[in-house]
Amino acid sequence: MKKNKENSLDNLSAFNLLKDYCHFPEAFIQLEKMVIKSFNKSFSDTFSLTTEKDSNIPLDRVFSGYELQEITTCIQQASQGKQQSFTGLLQQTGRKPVNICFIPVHDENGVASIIMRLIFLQDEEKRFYDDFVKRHNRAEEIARFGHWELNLNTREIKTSFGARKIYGLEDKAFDSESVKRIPLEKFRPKLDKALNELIQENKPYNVEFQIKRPDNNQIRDIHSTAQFDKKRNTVLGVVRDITHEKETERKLTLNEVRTNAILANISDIVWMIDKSENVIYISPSGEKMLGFSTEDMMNKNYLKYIPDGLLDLLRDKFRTLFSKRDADNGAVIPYTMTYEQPKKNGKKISVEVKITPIYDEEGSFLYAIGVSRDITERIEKEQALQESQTILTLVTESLGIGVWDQDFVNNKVVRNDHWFKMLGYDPGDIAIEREGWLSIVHEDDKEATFQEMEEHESGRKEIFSVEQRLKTKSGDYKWIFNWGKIIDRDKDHKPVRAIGVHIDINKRKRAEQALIDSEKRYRLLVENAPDGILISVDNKIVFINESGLSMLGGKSKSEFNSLQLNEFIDQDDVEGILKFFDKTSAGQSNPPFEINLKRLDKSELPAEIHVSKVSYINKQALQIIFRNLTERNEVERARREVEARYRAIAENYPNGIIFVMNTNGIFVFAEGKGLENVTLAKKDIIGKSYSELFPAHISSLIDDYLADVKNNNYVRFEIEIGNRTYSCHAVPVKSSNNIVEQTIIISTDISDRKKAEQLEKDIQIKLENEVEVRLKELNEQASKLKASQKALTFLLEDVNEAREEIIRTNQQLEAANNDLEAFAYSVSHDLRAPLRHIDGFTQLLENKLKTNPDEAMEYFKKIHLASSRMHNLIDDLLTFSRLGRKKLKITSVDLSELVKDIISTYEPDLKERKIEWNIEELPWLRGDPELLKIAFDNLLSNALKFTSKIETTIIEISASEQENGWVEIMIRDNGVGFDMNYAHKIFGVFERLHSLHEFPGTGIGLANVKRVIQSHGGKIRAESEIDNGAAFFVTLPQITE
Amino acid sequence: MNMNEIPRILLAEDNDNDVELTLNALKDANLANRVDVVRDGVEAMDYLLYRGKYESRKRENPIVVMLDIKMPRMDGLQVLKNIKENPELKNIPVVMLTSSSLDKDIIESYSSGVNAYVVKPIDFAEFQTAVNHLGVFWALINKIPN
Repeated sequence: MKKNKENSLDNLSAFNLLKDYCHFPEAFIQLEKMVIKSFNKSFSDTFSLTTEKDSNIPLDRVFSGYELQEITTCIQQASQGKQQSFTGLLQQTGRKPVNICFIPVHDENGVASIIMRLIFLQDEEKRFYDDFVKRHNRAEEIARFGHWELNLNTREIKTSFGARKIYGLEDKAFDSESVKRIPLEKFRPKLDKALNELIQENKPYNVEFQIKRPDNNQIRDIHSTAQFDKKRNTVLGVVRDITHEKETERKLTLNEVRTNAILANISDIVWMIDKSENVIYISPSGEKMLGFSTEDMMNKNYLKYIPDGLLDLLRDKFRTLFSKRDADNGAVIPYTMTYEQPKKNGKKISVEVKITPIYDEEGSFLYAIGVSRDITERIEKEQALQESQTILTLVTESLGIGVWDQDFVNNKVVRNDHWFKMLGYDPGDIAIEREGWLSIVHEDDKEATFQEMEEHESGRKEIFSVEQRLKTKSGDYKWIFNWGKIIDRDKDHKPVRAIGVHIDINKRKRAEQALIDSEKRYRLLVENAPDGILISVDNKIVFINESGLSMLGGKSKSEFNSLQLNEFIDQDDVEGILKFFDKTSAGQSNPPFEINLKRLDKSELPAEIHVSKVSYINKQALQIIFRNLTERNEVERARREVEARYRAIAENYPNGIIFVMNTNGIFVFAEGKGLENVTLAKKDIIGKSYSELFPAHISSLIDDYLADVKNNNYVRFEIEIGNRTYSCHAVPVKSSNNIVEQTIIISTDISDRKKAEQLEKDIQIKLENEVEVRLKELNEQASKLKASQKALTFLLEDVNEAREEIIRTNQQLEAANNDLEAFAYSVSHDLRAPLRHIDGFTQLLENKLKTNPDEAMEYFKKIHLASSRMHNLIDDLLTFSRLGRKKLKITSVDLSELVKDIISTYEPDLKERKIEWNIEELPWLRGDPELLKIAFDNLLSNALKFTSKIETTIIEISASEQENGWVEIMIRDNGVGFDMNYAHKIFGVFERLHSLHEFPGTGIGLANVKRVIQSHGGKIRAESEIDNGAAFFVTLPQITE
Repeated sequence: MNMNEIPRILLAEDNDNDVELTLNALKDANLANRVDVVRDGVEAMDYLLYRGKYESRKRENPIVVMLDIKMPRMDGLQVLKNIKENPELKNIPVVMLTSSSLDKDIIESYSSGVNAYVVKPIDFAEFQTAVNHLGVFWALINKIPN
């Protein structure tokens, strides 16, 4: 303080020193409480003061407006002991920039006076000042701050740079009216009012309002304060753009409103607890849910509201949360739990609580936000669901209901065991997709099923419900009631999940079908019944069948509609029927009665009617079945007539009696003329048994005879009673159930006939004897006849034989004739040739002998050959002719021996040849050895001849047994063979298949063979192929052992 | 004159002696070297239809065919029928040259369209004359349609 004082004194003495120094450029003022006590020359020069240096000049005489305001502020500050400084433009000095320093001068009581030091800034200072203004403006802009000055005398408004920026105004003075239009209209009265109050009552001017900027029409929020400078009749104001703050505020407000609205309206309780476990917030729903008021709960320890049983657990849990967050445990994980929350009224609700701890940056616990949700209903529902599911399972298990659960998204259907069991399948048998089920739907039910599915899936039907036949594993179909419902759909309303059941309704369906069938049958029965059937309700006819229609003479059923019963039945009868109807009970079978029905044409119809009570379309109805008795009555009458006729016949039965006897052997009927011949009267017989009427030996006989009648057989017997003989026919009379009820005995007195018969018998015996004698004679004659007949037959046979002989001879003759013809032919052709050759060569020989005797030798040879051929031909022809005439000398011939003999004769000529003989065991033949030798000689020589050009000759002879004592002998060679096309020729006389110069021969050999074989009754055939040998097959009779 | 360029005579005869005697008879008319001899009817048909070993024979019908009746396999009458039924061959003159003087053979030959029927005379001189005349007439004088 002391030091300060000294300083102050120094300041004042410095001022006093400088005050009088005329050329000191700086101006000094000494102020005491806003009054200028003294100033120096510079000051008075600058401000053009004419007053005395030490005269008291109030400060506001020198400074005004903005400068004054600034200076005043600085003086006040300086009065506190702080040195202040101010730089600005002074209006009074022609807006000279000046820096003013305020230096407080202390005395014992504090600041006694203030020295203002004004330093007028020169060019540099001016630049500095401009910078300052720029900085100032910039500051205003950044701070969205500005000030204005309203001169009430001129109604002119001056504005600072910042103000113009805020308002979007040009840099000029405005008249107040135009500026007043900038604020939004709704704020203008308020602004006017505030301004008036400021001016007139000096009330603080502090308003917020909105303007619409004239340059860009933006709406801005403005805060404005102002002071009124009465002396200058000027209002000075400061404006600030608070749009941003306002915006934030509005947003905040909106958020808060929203949050509050949410918190107020959600059913969940949102609450917060702080580190000390006190409730610091609870949403309004808490009050609703728990019954405690918000005030009750605020700032209370939350544990107060926790059930006792959970206290320890929760406390531990919460305290873990409330402790400092574990650095490693990065993410904040809400803690969730459910428990039973007691309410104020003592009841409990189930709550699910989710607690999120909030930590500060260092990980220290700040508070926890919890959300409690009342899940009582959910739990109850879950429990109920579980219970109902348990029940459903129990029910489905016990009732055998098939359950399915379809997932549409994955097309999977879960089915329970019964679903499969019901149809006899194992779970793997049906595809898990919906198609698995569809594949077993009966073809006829598919359309209905698809339609139902479509209608339910589209939402037109609330339930899917269809009765369908499904194929069981065994291939049968079973009726299933298929019921289901889509329980979940997506946002496009497409099905997501459906559940349903299968119920076996096979029995019901069958029963239904049976019912339909039985109804059909009933209708058919009723419609086709031969009896008339009508049903009436309340005395009116509601139904009549076809038979009834025609019986009553109607043409169509409609004629009967609603007709009264008494149209057909006498009123009396109707009453009788109705009375009876009242007494009778439904379904009861009642005895029929006969009445006369009235037909539509009023004629009467005798009828038997059955009346019964039936149900017709849920009404009690009267059913009348009526049968036309006209015919029956006719039959009855006819029957009576027949009976009368038979009685008449019986009464007049001649020479006999007709009895009827019941099962006890008692006679119940006896008629006939025979009664006249017996001593018994009709009345003596009827009511008695035969054992009473006849002696014991006779009645026992009758017992025997009638025994068989009881077995339903007709019996005829004769019985002698006294000296009379009766022929009796006992006929069983059967009841409808085939039991013998009565026996009719027709007895005829045949005593006279018996005598006649005896007589006849005697005559017959005589006659028979005579016949026998005659027969014997006749037989003798017949045998003679037979003998002569036989002779005749023999004769005939002889004749036949002779004729056959002739035919045979004829055939032989014919054959001989053919042979003869061939013979003649050969003579004309073959025998002429050698002659011609002999003649020809002789002629040539003659010529040659003249010209060339050496060559003549050749012709001699040829002539010799021709004549020897002639010789051969004649020999063969002789043989051939001889064979045709020769009688066979049949004997046993050993073919093996025969063949051996033949081959041995060839031996000398075969020395040069290589021959392989394959001769099997050959049989004994039955034939002419001479002829057979000729035949086999020919065959074997042929075989040798036609193999003469082969290197190794193979000749095979074998035999194979044929039927009936024949044997086939085969001679096969490997020679040149022949063309089978000419096979038919080879057995003809003079037929050759090879030219002479190839193989010599007369062409008679095989003809001879054929002749021999045929004369033995045998056959010959040949098989060959050119260059592949020939085989001859000869069939001859053999000798069997 | 090349042998192949003059028309041929076909002689069908199975008997070597007859062939020799016939050729001998034709020699006098200078026709012997124009004769082709076959041994039976089948061979004759092979010759005429260029079959078997006659496959490569010059494509030309003989100027006359002389047939013996009695031959192995196929007889002369059958050959005659085959020739006269074949449109390619029917214009060839056919002469039966045979030992047979049976009416049956003569009638059958003429009804089958034979051009001449000659019974071989037993007398060789006659035979020679007959054959000589036959050859000259049919091979040199007679004209047949082309």
